[in-house]
Amino acid sequence: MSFRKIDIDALDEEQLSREELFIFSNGVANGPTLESVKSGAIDVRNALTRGDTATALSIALDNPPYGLDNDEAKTQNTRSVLDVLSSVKASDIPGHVKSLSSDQQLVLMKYIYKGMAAPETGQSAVLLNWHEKLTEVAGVGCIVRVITDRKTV
Amino acid sequence: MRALRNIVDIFAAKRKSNTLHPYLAAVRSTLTAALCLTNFASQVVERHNKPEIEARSSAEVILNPLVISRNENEKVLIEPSVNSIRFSIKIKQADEIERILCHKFTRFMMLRAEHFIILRRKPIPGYDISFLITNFHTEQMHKHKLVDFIIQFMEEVDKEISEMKLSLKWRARSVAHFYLLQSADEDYAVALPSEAGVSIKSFLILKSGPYGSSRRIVYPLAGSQVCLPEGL
Amino acid sequence: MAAQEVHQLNIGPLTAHAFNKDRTQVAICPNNNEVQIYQKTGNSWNLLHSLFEHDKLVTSIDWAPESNRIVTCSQDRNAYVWNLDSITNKWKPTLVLLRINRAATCVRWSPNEDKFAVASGARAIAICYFEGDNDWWVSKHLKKSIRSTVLCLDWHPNNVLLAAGGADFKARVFSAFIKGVDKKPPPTVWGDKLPFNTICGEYSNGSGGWIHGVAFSPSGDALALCGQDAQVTVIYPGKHTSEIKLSGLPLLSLVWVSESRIVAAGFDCTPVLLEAKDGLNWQFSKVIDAGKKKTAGEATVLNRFRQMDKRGIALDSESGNADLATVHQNTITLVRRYDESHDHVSTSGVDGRLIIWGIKHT
Repeated sequence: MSFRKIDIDALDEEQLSREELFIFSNGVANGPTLESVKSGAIDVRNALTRGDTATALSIALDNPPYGLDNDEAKTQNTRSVLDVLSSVKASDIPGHVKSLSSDQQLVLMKYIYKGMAAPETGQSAVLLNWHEKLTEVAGVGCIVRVITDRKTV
Repeated sequence: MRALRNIVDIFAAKRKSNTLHPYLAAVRSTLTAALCLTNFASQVVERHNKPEIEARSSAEVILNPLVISRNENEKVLIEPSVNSIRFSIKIKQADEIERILCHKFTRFMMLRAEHFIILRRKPIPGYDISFLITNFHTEQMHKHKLVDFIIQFMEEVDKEISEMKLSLKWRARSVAHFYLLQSADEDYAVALPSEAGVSIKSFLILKSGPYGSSRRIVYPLAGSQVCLPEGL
Repeated sequence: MAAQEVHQLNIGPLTAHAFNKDRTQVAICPNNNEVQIYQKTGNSWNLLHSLFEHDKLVTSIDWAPESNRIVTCSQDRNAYVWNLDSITNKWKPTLVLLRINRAATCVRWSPNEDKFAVASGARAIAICYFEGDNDWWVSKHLKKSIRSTVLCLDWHPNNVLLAAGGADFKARVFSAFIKGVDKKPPPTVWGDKLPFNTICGEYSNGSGGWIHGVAFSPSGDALALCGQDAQVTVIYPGKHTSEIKLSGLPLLSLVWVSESRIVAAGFDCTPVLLEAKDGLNWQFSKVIDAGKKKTAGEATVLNRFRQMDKRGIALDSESGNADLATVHQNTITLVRRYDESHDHVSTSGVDGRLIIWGIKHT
């Protein structure tokens, strides 16, 4: 590598690293493991087969995996959240959104953006619908917090 | 059959416009949330004040980037930071012509980026056009008007490209029509694409000769000469 | 709705404003390297002095009410203390030895006006005091555990504690005790032994937003902070923490108007009132500037065309013109206490307006 391309600012000890930023925004390093996320995913699926989407949604949104190095758990949980979102009827979305706590709304908003970042799954239309309803209830403040929060899902 | 297809088309169009509204609404609310910029002097370079999203000198002033997508071909990327945001659009390109038109159109604008003030001279990889909005822009202009401008741009650009595509087709068709009328034998009738779905690159020439009817495709746009074979 | 006074002092942004003691004069920065002092005559403001000493954007101004001194700081890394020469009636600058190598972002006099604090992008806060022997303003640095640009400051009423919020998502309470200037303060809720550079507390909103505003309550027993994540946290150290998640855009500045009321403002272009119900549980109370009602009925097609014809522009379908319904037309960057009785606050913002709000009866 050419010496010109070395990022010398990164060598500055005062610079905040990604790990530090995560801790600075109250991130806890030992989040849920892949195993617990997987067992949660089973609960979600059971609730979905019962047709109880509200329970499924709150299980999927509670205690989501954050952290920096547990991508597998994150992908797993994203899948279960998106499963729930796509199985809710469009007319039921406002009711579901209103019954969530403000923390859950924030987590849901994070997953909506995460889902939209992967349009190849073809769920964008569903997610846009959820986004619209959630913004109506939680306001732009919720989006602001998705942008600032380093505890990404 | 034709009628059925029309109905299917109408439904498809309706569904499409139904997702356009939530798409633009999501872009609008996300942009509003991201466009919270303040004047921020660089903490790495003395006495400098640069857009942190481009300089990327300190990680803590760069925020999480967000993607809003309508489908695989239509999405936007919003990269916020303390004093600047970068907004990139992937414009819908259904076929080769739309790709060419989109490229020409965005290139035309980006060559004149200084007149568009917030336009970036180069798009972010994977996107067709990017905007760079800094705190100096939000100081000079109303923020809600900036958001309106971008939403309007997104609406217009699709319309613009499909209009250009239509006029291009129309032009090509009439050029080919006259060209082929001049040079074709009387034996040849020219069937020109009349529906939007047919690519204008190729024209179907029907021959009705002594050996029955045969088909041949010529490319009037690709080469300047159209050779009509004899006695085939 | 409370009455408010609106003064348009600049077309571009006002980066800072500070009133003198009797509020007949105001010092502002019109988004450049200049500091302007306006005198109030009747209901209008006349430019009295222009102070040119900085060579980059002036980021903050503070006017000490009793000693009638102005301190300014700028992105050129310098701060000046200005004294009014009574003979020539000119403001004379004195350079302060800040010893920082990045932009200064915020400056505030301590309550006793014997020292001031300058926040900076050098990951440090300079505590400046006057050294009579050398006839200099000298500084000592607070650096401990600050990891990014310091964006805002507020002094505790005891003249020793200083709250600072920064781009590292944290607000901290420091001791800025200077030997020879301060007497040993009585114990507070923040601690009782307070040598210089002690960190008495470290707080955050928890969602990774830069802390744009900090403020001690009038008693000094509570601290409020607001950040980019559109949250306000009120901390009663050792006792209670109250978080308010806003549904709107982030707040940039806040002041306490009593022990149970806070006025804050930011990107929503209007000040908002936060109130503590039963003393500790803080809640969003109301928007102070609800915005003027849109006049209905004039949206007939004929009128619209007439308007378009007259102004030559296509009108917005909703509002009729580009203006916002609020009094401030752009982000509010600063909220300050206007008078000692806490009945009024003053706000200034990116729209160049200085607005004084009556909040007594809101």
